[in-house]
Amino acid sequence: MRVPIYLLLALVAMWGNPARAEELLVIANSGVEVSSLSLEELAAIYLLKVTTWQGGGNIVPVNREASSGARTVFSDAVLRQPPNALNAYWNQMHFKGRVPPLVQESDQAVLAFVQKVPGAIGYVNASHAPQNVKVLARVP
Amino acid sequence: MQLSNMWVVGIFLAASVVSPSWAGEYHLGQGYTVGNVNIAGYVNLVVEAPTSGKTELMADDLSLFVSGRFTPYLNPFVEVEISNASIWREGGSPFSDSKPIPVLERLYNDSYFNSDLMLRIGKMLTPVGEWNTIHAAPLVWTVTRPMTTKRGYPEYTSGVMLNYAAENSRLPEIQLYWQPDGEIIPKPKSRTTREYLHVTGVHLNRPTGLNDKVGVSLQHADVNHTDESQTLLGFNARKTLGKFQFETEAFYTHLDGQNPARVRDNEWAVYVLGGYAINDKLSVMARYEHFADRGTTKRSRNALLGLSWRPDPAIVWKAEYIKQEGARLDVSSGIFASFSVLF
Repeated sequence: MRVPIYLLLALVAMWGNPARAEELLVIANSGVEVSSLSLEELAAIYLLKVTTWQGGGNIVPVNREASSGARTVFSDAVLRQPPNALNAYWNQMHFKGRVPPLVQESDQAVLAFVQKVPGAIGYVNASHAPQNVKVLARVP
Repeated sequence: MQLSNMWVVGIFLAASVVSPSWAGEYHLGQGYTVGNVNIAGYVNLVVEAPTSGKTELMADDLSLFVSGRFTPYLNPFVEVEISNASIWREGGSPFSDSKPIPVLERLYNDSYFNSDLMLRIGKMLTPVGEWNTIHAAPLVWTVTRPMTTKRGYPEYTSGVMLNYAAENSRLPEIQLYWQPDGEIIPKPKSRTTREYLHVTGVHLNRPTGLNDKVGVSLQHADVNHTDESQTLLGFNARKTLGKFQFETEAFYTHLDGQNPARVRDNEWAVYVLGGYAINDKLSVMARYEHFADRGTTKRSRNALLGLSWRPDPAIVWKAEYIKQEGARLDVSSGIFASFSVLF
């Protein structure tokens, strides 16, 4: 059986950079009174420039651990900053009294946290439809 | 101190009633978060080997800070630290010279009127330049702090501050602050150059990147126990160019009134620092500082070469060599090293 060359190239490209193949859903606690967010609004939330929801209540952003592919995709597409610069920024903001996005170390943990905590927002792999949360955006 | 402790405990107890909570979680660099309360801190172990002086290992500092986010108007923050805890000194036995000093660094509440405007009331870090507001050892480039960032003005403001920071605004970030009298629970006199009263100031800051910025400061203050008052004009900037980062702070202060201890009617200082990231973890840096102190005819100069290794965003090892010339103020020639953890 002959495999078309373009299919082989596509497979090689996906194998060489698996993070690019990962699509994420941005999810929020079901009590959040917002139906969608732009990438700019998401960046403002994760950079702690916006800390309360439009309808009131604190925003509680959730990040994946530094080694996670999902975090790489999210940082590249939404925050558009290198990891070291983001770490330095969040450390400084923490010292200034603004707690950085909380880390959860799996999609399941992010989903459980966002389901449970009022005002929480996070991101999970788009391959599974999350239950009992609001989907606010798709990344990239 | 007891009164302020009760005040802090009272705020957090009252706030816990209105606080939605979730199980506590700890992550290195992020501290322990439970509900709307975060408990974190940092530790800094320092080895000082001055050219003319004794080698010493000390814990400088051990800091703990607690913040809460409860309502738009109730966001308390407190930081206490123990500094100068000597662990070992050349010629002595372990802990024999230890004289740790507890310091109330910050104690305030933030009230947000909207996402752009915030009112802070209490004891806070004075927004002159940038270093003073992020002075924790794991966050800054060098073991030794430039004198430019603390010697010529109050590190703390005890009073009120109005903070304006709007997303996508043409206006810069604005911090307008006022200290009506003296400092709340000041540091021991042995740890400060001088005390200040009646502080009024403004800091304007224009972010030019995630961590890059340009800022100016203007401040007026009276010097306690003298008839002296001072007006400060300051400048700070940071710029990242690929693997290079440059930062500088400078100030010029005009002095009015009488103080027999001073030898000139002005004081000025500047430092410049350049850092280069060899890779994600290892960096080298160089710094030069010039300080024309109000109390000495000679000027003080120091140059620094150093490196830092950051195996984790919350952990940093640093080492540096300093050559100091002119008036001896707060920085000495020698080798200095540190291990810092944001926990």
